[in-house]
Amino acid sequence: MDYLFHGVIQVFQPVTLVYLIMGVLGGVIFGAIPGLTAALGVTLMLPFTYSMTTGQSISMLMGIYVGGISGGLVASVLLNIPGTPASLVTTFDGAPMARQGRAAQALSLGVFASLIGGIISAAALCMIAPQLAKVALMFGSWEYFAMGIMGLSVVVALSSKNMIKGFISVIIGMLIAMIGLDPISAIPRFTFGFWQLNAGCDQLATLMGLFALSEVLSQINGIHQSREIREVGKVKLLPQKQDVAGKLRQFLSGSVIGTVVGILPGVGQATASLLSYNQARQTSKDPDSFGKGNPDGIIASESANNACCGGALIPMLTLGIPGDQVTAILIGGLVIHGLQPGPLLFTTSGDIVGTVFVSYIVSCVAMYFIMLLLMKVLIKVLKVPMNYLLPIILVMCMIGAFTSNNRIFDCWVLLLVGLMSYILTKCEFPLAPLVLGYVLGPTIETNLSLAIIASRGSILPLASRPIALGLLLMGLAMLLWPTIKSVIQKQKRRNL
Amino acid sequence: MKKKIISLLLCVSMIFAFTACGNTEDAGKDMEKGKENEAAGETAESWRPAKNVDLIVPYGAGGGSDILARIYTANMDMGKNIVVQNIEGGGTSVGLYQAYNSEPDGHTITLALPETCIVNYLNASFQDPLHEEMVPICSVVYDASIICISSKSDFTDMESIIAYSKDHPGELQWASVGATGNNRLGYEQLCLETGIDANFIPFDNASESRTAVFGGNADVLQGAISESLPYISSGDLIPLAVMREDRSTFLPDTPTLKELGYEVMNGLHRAFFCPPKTPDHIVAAYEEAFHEAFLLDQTAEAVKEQGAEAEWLGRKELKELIEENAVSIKETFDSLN
Repeated sequence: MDYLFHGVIQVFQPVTLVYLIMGVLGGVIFGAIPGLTAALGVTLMLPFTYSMTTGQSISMLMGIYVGGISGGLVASVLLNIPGTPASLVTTFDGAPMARQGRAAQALSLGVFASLIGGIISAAALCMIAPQLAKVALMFGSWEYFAMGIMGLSVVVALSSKNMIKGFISVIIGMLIAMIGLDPISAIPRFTFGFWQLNAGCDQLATLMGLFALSEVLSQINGIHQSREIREVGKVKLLPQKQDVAGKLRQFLSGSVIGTVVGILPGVGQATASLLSYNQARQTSKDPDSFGKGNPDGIIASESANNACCGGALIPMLTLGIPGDQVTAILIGGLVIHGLQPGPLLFTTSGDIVGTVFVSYIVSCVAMYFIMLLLMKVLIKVLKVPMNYLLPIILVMCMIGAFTSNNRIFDCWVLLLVGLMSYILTKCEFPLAPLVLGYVLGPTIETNLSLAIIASRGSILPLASRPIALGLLLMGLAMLLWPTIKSVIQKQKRRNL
Repeated sequence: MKKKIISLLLCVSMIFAFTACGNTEDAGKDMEKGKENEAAGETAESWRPAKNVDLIVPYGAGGGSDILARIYTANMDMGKNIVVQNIEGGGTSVGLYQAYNSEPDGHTITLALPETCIVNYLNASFQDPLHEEMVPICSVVYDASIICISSKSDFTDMESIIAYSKDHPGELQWASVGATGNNRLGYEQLCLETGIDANFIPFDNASESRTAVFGGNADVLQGAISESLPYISSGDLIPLAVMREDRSTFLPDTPTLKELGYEVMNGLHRAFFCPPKTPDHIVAAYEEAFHEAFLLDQTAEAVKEQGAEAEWLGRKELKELIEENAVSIKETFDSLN
């Protein structure tokens, strides 16, 4: 606990605090604008932190990280467009709530859930980081493969209306993810001679095309119709007692799922919130109300995506392995100051570890207050006519797509993917399963190949991997759960 | 209806405004190029960039190559700023092709690993021989490969690994990065030389391969010295042999493979290149600027902190080295197929 004390000394210096709060504020704004993400914010700021002291640079980057992941909630609720990929799941219930005039309730609940998720994962980070890091070591290729497959079974929850179309969407997503150099043999696939596609479709451009552009196009479609009156509702800053009371289980399970997923390298917030949402829906007494404005959906999503940040810091600090995209960049931020994240960091630079811990916690709290203060302003977005808002969103997405690699090519990717997803929505294909396939496809493919290479072509070693088998069985159970449930209900009815 | 049309038009016009940005940029470049050609009578000493220079780093911000590039850009004096552009992905091909297709006017240079370019060309993931067509400026770091085991491993030295692998063919799990890259090349050369018969598991990046070894999912780790050093000093990794000509200054107690009787060398030069057909006097000016920065104490200090072995190769030596390596790597490739 000694290092926490050092951390407090480092972070609670006036200049450092100002950097941290600036980071959070900038992060929230970046996160709230569709097209600009936490990862982008951290990447853009990283070179500026090279000249700061280590404490200042960590505090600022941590602020952007936490703010960016949390800010995405605003656009998700108010515009039905995820501000960052991490808050994609928040749109499922946040947007319906806003349509019902409960935008303020959705926002304050989401911000509160973000805070809880952040604090719980911070507690895990401070107290049992070294022990938790072992989870990451227990995962070999088979386990990651099994986890990817389990993640895919969430498709059931995401496409309850038409399962076949849901599965087709997953496959399309996985095919998009296959564009680029094959992860093992480095042979170009589906690039059609464009070297720009060697790294695949840029993730930001693809995800923004999928959600932002298709939503913009759909809204343009209905712009001439007399607009539904979008009630702002009474803005209450703090979440109301009746919203939070009795929801301890939802907050906790979201936070725990988020933290654990965060610890696993290369999985990330979007998957964490999808898994958490699925869990909340399947254990709910009223699963059909999910997707129609159930506050539990927001709690599940927002607590998980914030908890994922704290979780991702655990393997970064203890093993030097980034837990997600942003921590991969944060490692660079530490290395430039001559610090090598990894087993040595705790012994050689305990004060730095403490700084990371404390700045993470302070960022979570600062995020909570900044979001509450901004909410009154942000919620006015609902009153802005769509014909002004849509072009701005489109431009922001373009800027985001351009900035991530500094090339126009990615803007074309955004446009094409957006057009494709618009056509898919018109044909009533759900888009969320597509993201699932796109995000999990590479994890599944790469790890299956690696596992099979290690066993010289045999899949039998899978049988000797209890964790992998357990994950696969869980996936199977999730896939079959709706069928089992209806059978049980029929039996019950018959017995009555 | 009117609203719908107006907003559609607005959207479309924004898009065009954006794409147009790209085009005007290109046009601007062409004009500037024309101006430069007029002033081409300058000598090597006096060539200076007319605007900020883009240094393309085909890796993400924060990696070893990125930090090296930033150390140099901070210590180089070209009269204008040298701005690092991280363009990652596709096993460095996206960034390198961007550099390859840039104007050869000295305002775009790139960091590249010549060995990777050669191997990627031979295994067909690069369609063009970038190592032949791009103009080398200099190489500033040589990062050799090292063979390590986990501190929990039952193995004790290189010989015990070789003996085990001969007795149990195909059972040893050999963790490294890239199925067809430079690491694989070193591994195959080692197999030819020693008779090792293991499973080469090509992870995506160094941290993944390291995790596999820490977690007991792989037995041996082959990676760059710079990336393994922190874990060697923490005691989590035990170094067995370096794949260098002579011992590494960072690990004076670790033998080279050559000392153990196996003539296998493997490693990467971190080098800087100009796009193809860049005029000689521009390349010479860069070489000089890089060399000045190389000799600075603060550069040496910062590079050492990264665990990278500083080694200077000028453009002539680098070109020779690339030509030699291209031949020897092709020979290994042919003997494997």
